[in-house]
Amino acid sequence: MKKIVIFLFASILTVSLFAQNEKYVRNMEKAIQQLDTTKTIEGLQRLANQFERIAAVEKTEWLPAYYQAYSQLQIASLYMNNGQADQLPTYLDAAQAAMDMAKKVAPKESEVHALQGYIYMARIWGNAMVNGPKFSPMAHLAFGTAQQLNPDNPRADFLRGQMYFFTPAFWGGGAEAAQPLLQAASKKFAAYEAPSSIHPLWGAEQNTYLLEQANSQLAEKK
Amino acid sequence: MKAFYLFFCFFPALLTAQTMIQGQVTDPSGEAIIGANVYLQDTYDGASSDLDGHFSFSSEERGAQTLVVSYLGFETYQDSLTCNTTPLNLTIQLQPVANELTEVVISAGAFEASDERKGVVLNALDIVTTAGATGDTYGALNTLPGTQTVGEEGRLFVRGGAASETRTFIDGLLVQSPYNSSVPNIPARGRFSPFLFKGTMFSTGGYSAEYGQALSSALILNTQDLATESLTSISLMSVGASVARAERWDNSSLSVSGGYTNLAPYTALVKQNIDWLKPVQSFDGQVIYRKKTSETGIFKANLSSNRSWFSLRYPDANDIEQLNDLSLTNDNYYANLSYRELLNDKTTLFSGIAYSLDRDRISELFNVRTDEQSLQAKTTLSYHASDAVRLKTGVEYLFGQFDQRFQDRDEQVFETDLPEHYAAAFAEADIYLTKGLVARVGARGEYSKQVDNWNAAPRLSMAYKTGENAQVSFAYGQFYQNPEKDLLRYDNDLGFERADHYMANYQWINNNYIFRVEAYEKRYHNLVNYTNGKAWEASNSGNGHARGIDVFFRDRKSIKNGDYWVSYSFLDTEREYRDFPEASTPGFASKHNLSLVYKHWMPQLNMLIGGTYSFASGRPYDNPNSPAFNAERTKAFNDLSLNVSYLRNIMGNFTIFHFSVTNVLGFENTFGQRFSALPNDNGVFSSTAIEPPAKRFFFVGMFMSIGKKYDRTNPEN
Repeated sequence: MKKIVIFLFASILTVSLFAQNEKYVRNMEKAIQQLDTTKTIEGLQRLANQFERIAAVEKTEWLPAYYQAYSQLQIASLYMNNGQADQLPTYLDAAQAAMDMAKKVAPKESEVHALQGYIYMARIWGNAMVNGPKFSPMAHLAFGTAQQLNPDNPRADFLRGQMYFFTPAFWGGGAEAAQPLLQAASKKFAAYEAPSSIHPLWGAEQNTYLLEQANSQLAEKK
Repeated sequence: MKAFYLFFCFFPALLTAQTMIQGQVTDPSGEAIIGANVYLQDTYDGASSDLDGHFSFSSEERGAQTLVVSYLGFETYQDSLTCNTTPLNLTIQLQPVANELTEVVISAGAFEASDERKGVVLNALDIVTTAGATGDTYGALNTLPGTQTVGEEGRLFVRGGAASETRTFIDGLLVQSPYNSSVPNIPARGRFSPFLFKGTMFSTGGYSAEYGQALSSALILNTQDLATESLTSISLMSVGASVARAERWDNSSLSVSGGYTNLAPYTALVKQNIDWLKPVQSFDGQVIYRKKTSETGIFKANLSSNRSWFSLRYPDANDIEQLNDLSLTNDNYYANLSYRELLNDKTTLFSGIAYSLDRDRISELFNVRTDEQSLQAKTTLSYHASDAVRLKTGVEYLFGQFDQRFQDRDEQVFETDLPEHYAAAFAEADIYLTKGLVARVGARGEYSKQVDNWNAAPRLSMAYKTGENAQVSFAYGQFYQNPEKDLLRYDNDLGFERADHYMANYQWINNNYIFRVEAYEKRYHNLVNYTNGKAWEASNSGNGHARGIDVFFRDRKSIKNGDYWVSYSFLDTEREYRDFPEASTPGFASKHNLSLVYKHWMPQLNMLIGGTYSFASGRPYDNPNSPAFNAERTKAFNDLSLNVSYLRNIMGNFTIFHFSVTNVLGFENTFGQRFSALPNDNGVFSSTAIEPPAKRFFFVGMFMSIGKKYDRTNPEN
C-alpha cells in the first residue's frame, strides 16, 4: 500500500513536471511561430507580452527573455522604418531589460550575446553621430563574444555582416566589408541544426537578401 | 482507497473549471492603453489589451491570485483577486512613470548639454560642430541666449555681468584659469577641449547652492568616464598638430596626449590687423586616467600642462599711436582628482581635489610677473531620502596664493601678496510636492580670509508642470563673489560683492522642438566703487541692475537632415561701480544679441555643413575728449561663420576633414576705440580703433582615429 502511494505520488510528480515542460514548449512554439509572421507593432507587443509572461514563470529558462528582447527589438525596427526614430529609446530600453534577464540566466550562451550586439547596433540607428562612437565598439565586442562561444552560430556572423553593410564607408563599413561575413553566415545557416524546436532559427532570409545586395553592389563597382 | 481514485477522476474536472477575467486598461485621463500586459502572476494566463484597451482571458487557477498589469512608460499595477469561476470585470488605471522628457525639472537659468539625458538643449557634439565657435566650448555657448558677444575678449559675458562673474567648474571643482592667457583686446580661448566632457551645464543664473564665488553664471563641466576603446588619434591643423593615445583595459583607461600650436605660418599667409613679432606658440600635454573602483565607483584623474608665448607690437598706454614690443609667456599646470561611489542604495559620495598653478610673464616698458596658485578640496553627499525628497550637502576648502611683481616704466616696483583661505558649506533639498511640482531649497555659507568676511546665501527654485511637455519655473538666489585681485591689492577693507537673481521661465520641450523664454532681474549690491576715481580708496558702495528677456527655439525636425536654433537676448543694464562717475551701462553690455545656428547633414556626401549668424547691437564706451561719460556707441557687430566637416575612411581609419571660416561676408567689425591715458600736446586723447586680430579666421584640420581593426576578412576571428 505504502509503495503504491509512493509510486502514485512519484508518477504524479513526474507527469506534472513533464506536463509543465510540455506546456512551456507548446506555448513557446506557438508564440515563435507567430513571431515569424507578425509584422505589426500591436502584434509584436502582444508577443512580447506573452514571452514576458512565460519568462516570469520559467525563471531558469533563457529563451523566453531572449524572445521578449527580440520582439521589442522588432518593434523598434518597425518604428525606425516608419520614420519614428524618437520611439527607439523606449523599446530598446525594454529590449535591454529583457536581455539583462537572459544574460543572467545564460551568461555563456552565444545566441544571447549575438542578440545583445544587435540591440547595441539598434542604438546607433536613431542617432549615429552621437551613439555610434559609444555603441559601435560595444556591438563588435558582443558579436565577437557570440562568435567565440559558438563558432557555428550563423547569427553572430550575419549580424556583424549586417552592421558592416549599413555602416558608412568612412567608418570602415560598406558592401566590401560585409560580404565575407555574410558569405560565412550563409554557409553556417545551411549547416545549422537548432538544439531544440524553440531555439533561435531566424536570420537566414535576411542574410541571403543582404548577401545579394552586397554582391550586386560590388559587381556594379567593377 | 476508492476515495483516492475518485479524487483523481475529478481532479481534471476541477482543473478545467475556468474563471473568465476581462476588463479595460486606461491611463489617468481615461484614454485606452493598447498592448498592456495583463496576467496572473506565476502563471501563463494572461492577455494583451486591444485597440480599445480591452482584455479578456480565462484561467484554470483557483483561489487567491495576483493580477499584474504592465506597460512601457507606466508603473506596474498589482492587485489580488479570487478565482472561483465567477467572471471578473475590471477597470485598471495605470500611472505614468516620470521620465526625463515629461518629469518636472528645474530649468530656470539652466542650459544642459548631454548625450545621456533626454530633453537637453544641446548634445556634446553640438559644441564642436557649431560654426563660428572654432571648437571652443565658450564660443559655442555664446550662441545661447543670455550671453553677450564681446569680440575683443572671447570670454563669456552673461546677462550684463563681467567675464569674471562667470566661473567654470570641472567635476564640481572651481577652475582658476579656464581661459588661455592674453592681453587686453586679443581674444582668449578656453583651455580645455570640448571632447573631454560628456556633459555641460551652463547656468545663466539662479544656480544650485553647490556653487559659489560667481555673481552671474556657472559653467559646470563633467568629464568623460572610461575611454570606450583603445585608440590613437592624430590631428593635423593649419595652426598645429597633436597626437593622443588612449588605452582601455577592463576596468580602467589611460589617455596621454600632446600638442604643439604655432600661428606663425598662418599669420604670414593671412593679413593680420595685429603687428605680430612672434605669433602665438604653445606646447601642451595631458594625462587622463580612469578607474572603475567597483560596479558603481569611479576614480578620475586629469592632469594637464601648457606653455604658451607670443610677442607683438602693442599700443603704448600713454600714447596710443606709439607701439612698443610686448611679450607674454604663460605656464599653466592643472590637476583634478575625483572619486565617486554609491555608499548604499540611497547615498552617493563625491570627493575631489584640484590644484592649479598659473604663471604669467609680461614685458613691455613695464614688467609683470604673476603667480597664481590654488588648491581646493571638496566633498559632497547626496541622499535619496524618498521619491519625493532628495538631499545634497557638502563642504569645500580652498587655499589660494596670488603673487604679483609689477615694475613700471620708471622701474618702480609694486608687489602684491594675496593669500586666501576660503571655506564653504552648502545644503540643498529637492522636494517633489506633487508629481508636477518640485521645489529646490538650498543655502550656502562661505568664509573668505581674503576679505575677512563671511556670508550666507539662500537659493530657491521651483518648477511646475503645466502640460505634458510644458512647464514654468522660478528661481531666486543670492550670490557672492570676492572682488577681483586688482582691486584687493590695496588695503581697502573690501568685502564680498553680491548679486540677487530673480527669474521666471517657460519651457516647452519634446524630442524635436525646444522653446524657452525667460525673464530675469538681477540686482547688484556692494560692488567695488572708487572714491573720486581712485582705485586705492575704494569701498563696497557700488550697485547696479540687469534685466532682460532671453528666448531660445530649436527645431530638429522641420528640415530633413537639418537642425537649427535661434537665440535672442534683450538686456537692459546699468551699474555704478569702479571708476564710473555715475550709473551707466558697462562697455561689455549690448542691448540686443541674436544668434542663428544651422547644421545640415548630407549623408550621400558624408558631409556636415554648418553656419552661424551672430548679431550684437552697439556697446557703450567712454570718450575722454567728450564731457559726457560713456556716451559713444560701437558699431553693431555682425558675423556669418561657416564650417564643413567631411568624413571618410583612409586606409581603414576614420578621418574627419574640417574647414571653417569666420566672417564670410567680410563685415567691418570694430569693438570701439582705445584712448591714450594722457592727452597729447594739443590736449586731445588720441585714439585707435579696436579691431579683431584679423578680418577672418580660416581653419583647416584633419583628425584621424586609428582604432583596433575588427578582422572581417576572416570571420572566424
